[in-house]
Amino acid sequence: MIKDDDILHFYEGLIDGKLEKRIIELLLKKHKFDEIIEILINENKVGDKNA
Amino acid sequence: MLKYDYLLTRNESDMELTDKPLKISKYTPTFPTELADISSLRGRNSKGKSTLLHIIALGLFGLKNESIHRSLNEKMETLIHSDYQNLVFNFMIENTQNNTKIVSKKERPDSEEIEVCEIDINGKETSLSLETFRNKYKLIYDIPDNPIGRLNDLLSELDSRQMSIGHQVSYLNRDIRNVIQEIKNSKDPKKIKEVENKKNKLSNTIDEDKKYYEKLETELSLFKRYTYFKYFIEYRGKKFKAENELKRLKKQRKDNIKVAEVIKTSNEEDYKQGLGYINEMHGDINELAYFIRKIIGREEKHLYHISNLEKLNIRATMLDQDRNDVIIGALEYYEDIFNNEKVHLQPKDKYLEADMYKDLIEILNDYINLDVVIPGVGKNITDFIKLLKIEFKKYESLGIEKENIEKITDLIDDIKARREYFINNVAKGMNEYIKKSSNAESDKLTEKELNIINIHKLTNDINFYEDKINLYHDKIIRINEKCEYQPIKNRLDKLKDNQIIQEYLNWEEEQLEKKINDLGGELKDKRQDIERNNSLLSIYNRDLKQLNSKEAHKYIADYDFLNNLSEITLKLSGIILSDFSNYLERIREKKKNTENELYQKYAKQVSKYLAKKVGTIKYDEIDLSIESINLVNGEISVKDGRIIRLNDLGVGHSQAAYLKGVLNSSDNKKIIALIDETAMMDNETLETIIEKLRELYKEGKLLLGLIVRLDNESEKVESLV
Repeated sequence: MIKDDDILHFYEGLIDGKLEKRIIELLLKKHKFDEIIEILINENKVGDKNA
Repeated sequence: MLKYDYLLTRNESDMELTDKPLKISKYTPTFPTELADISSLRGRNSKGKSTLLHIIALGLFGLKNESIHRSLNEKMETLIHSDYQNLVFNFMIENTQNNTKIVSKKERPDSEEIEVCEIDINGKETSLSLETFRNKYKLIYDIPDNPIGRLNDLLSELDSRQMSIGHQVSYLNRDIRNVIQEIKNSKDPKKIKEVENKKNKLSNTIDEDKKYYEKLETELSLFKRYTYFKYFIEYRGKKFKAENELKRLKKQRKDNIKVAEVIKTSNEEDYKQGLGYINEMHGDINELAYFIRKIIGREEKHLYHISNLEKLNIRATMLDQDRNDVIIGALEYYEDIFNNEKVHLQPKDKYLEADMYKDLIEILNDYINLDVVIPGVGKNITDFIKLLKIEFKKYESLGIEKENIEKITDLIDDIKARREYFINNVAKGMNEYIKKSSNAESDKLTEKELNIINIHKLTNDINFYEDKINLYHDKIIRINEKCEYQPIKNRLDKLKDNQIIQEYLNWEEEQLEKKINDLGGELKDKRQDIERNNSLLSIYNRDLKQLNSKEAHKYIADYDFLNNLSEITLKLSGIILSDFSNYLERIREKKKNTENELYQKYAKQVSKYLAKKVGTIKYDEIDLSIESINLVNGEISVKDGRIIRLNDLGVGHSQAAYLKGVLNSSDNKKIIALIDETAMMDNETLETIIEKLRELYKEGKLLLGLIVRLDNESEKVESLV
């Protein structure tokens, strides 16, 4: 059976951007759009701090 | 379990032979009306195997299911939309594993209406719409038909998932843009700071403009007073002098001039014209002397020739060839001085700079209405012209000095040319006339003629001076000053000591009037600037009030990141919905595109996707795990390293591969699988399909599975659960 992980894997081989992959992953996990925006913003902040 | 019943009534008469009696046949189920969740039906042709599958598909929105093969769709259409047969049916799919009951019925033969509903665990019936059915269930109804070619159909699910993800990314982009817009409309400290900076900058500009406005006002008042006082006094003086001269001439005319008989000769008219010519030259020489004195000022050494010119009896000198050189000598002396002055007065660059500013202002004035911001300066044309005018003003006195010197050299050139003309064309005739007539009479005539000319000229001059005095009188009153001769003269003397005015003492009336006009224009422009900027300042204050009254957005600090995210999602949705969708179509059409690297990668991913979907294939009696299915090349790569060509696969194998692919659904919908005409598969291949159905059933994903095969001997039903 083709699962969401397989679809994610399908796109991982095609799309280079880390953020783009993360967006697809969050969409496949059925997050709501406002949740996705919040998650990405928080992750970006953490990324900025670690950078 | 499937419980069902149906009645198919068919008119089997020859429709064209209307005289024959009607032959109506009625068909009801041949097979048992209760079947297990997974069942195999075998039987001879026309025993209702396919009819049962058609009815179940019809009852579950089969006519609106795009994945059902066209040939099956046509058969379902015939069952329900034909004028030679009609159908009523009802069936219930009851799955105890899922506590699911789906009921579908068509109760009226003359109506196409089919009711579909779900019955929950408490027996409550809920009507099922097409949309709800599609969200919860998946109807698979298939027959073997070019199964190799139909492996392409396995891409449909990928296509559908891909479109769904692409659209979701697009909707996410829309939401991100909404958040960005919300931030824009919220309290934005950065924007507030920006507006405050603009406001402060504008306030400073207004303050500076006000100061400059006051300075201009003072300057304008100064120039008005100086000019009006100066010319009021000057014209009064000129008028007074002219009136005295007029009195003298009138007296002279009465006392001394005796009318004499004039000897009419052929040269008299030429002589009169010559006198007029000499008179004009006299006027020019006086004007030249005035300008030279004005510019040379107190430098005595250069005033010698001027004094000589002023003392000279111009008429006598002009007619005396030998004395003529006195005029020429003086003219050439001053010509040398002022030509030299012109060269050394200022570096040439300064004049070029002044000309450049003047030319630029003139050119830009033609485009003043264009709404253009000049690059590098950041100002519109109107503001830029104002800047240029301020710069140009620095060269103002330079221009006037140059103008005056040029006026002198032009005047010298003019006098020299007139003198040349006089010598060559007029002097000889005049001298001949003088010789022919007695000197006394000639002199009398001359004095009489000159007297009349001078009286006429002086009268005109006095009128002109009177007009000017009135004009400046009115102007002085308009600037709220008392117009009395002596106080005005005293104030004029004081004004001449003013530092600003001292630079303009050599300026002429027209030049000063122009200066006053320019200052007035500049003052008006500056006032408009201040008014416009005050309006803009009110707008900034209003904006600040509005911006401060808003709530701050929680993502205000993430504004740049959100913009970046917006760009990324927009691009990503474009790639998925456009590029990838296009690539999938090319794969379906078996197009190779070796130049496009992304297409190559995409095709490779699709091959892996199909391999995962089909899983295994039975070949040479063994189950082989598939690594990739390349639809473009028509090759299947299996794990033992072999490449199996799709064209080498039997129909049964291909059909099995396709059906397994269809059954390997990636979503969680409950499946109702109806598989017809499996006779082309051998038992082992069919068994892999049955195993797949059992696997799905055990996972709770299959509600009903019916497999139909031809059996030429008898009808058999077998539970496969």
